[in-house]
Amino acid sequence: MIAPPVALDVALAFREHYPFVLRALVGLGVTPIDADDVAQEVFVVAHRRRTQFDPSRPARAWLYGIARGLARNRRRMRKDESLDVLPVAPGIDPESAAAQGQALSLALRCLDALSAKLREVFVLTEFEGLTAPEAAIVLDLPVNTVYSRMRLGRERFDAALAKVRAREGVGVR
Amino acid sequence: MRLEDDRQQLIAQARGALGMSAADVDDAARRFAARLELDEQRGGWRSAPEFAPMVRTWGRVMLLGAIGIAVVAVTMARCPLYERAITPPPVTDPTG
Repeated sequence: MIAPPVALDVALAFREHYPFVLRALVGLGVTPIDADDVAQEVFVVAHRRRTQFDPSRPARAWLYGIARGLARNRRRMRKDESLDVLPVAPGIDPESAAAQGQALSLALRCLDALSAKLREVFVLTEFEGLTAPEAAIVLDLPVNTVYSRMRLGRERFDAALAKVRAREGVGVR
Repeated sequence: MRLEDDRQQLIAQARGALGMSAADVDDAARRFAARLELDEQRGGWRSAPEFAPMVRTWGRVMLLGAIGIAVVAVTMARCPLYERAITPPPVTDPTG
């Protein structure tokens, strides 16, 4: 007998994974100003497909898969979008908010130096702090591939960052 | 500063820019619930194709359209004004 499909409780998943999905979208190249809208769309799609959810895999991995597809579409639509408009986290003094905004803008520029494959591994491991085995589950990749992409991603990111710092006249080793 | 430290510091700051409080998540969850409700009112995509109602609607539109065109065509064909309109003007000799 086939077991009935287990639908994902999307409202619960929203509260648990919304910040992760939002950050992942920004890391995947969706402009911060659009990220909230696309994150909502991710959960709308998840709600529509909730009966297709495979409970043997983590909900985060499933949501990430949806986010990846929507981020690709959104990037295609808005290729020339500038990253200048950044959200300001509430409850933070304007100076720190400006510094954080600049850091995000710079980090996103450095991320542009990475290919899509390296970028998603880098975002999950460096931005989200996932371990390589956790990232491998989310991306459905062998762990060794994740390790290799982590190393390459760091190299490319560091090279891009070093270039920016050299232009600014800041010495880094 | 070492490049690795610089990277980690940059990423920590970038993460801070995208930080969310519990109130932000609550607010987003409320907007999500409202969006779902609105979608439900509008109606969603059906999980299975429903051809019969579509064929019935198209059939009705085609039939009514054909009846409408036929009525106009018959009326025009019998209308004296139309007869006069399509009759070529009488040829008159310009020299008199």
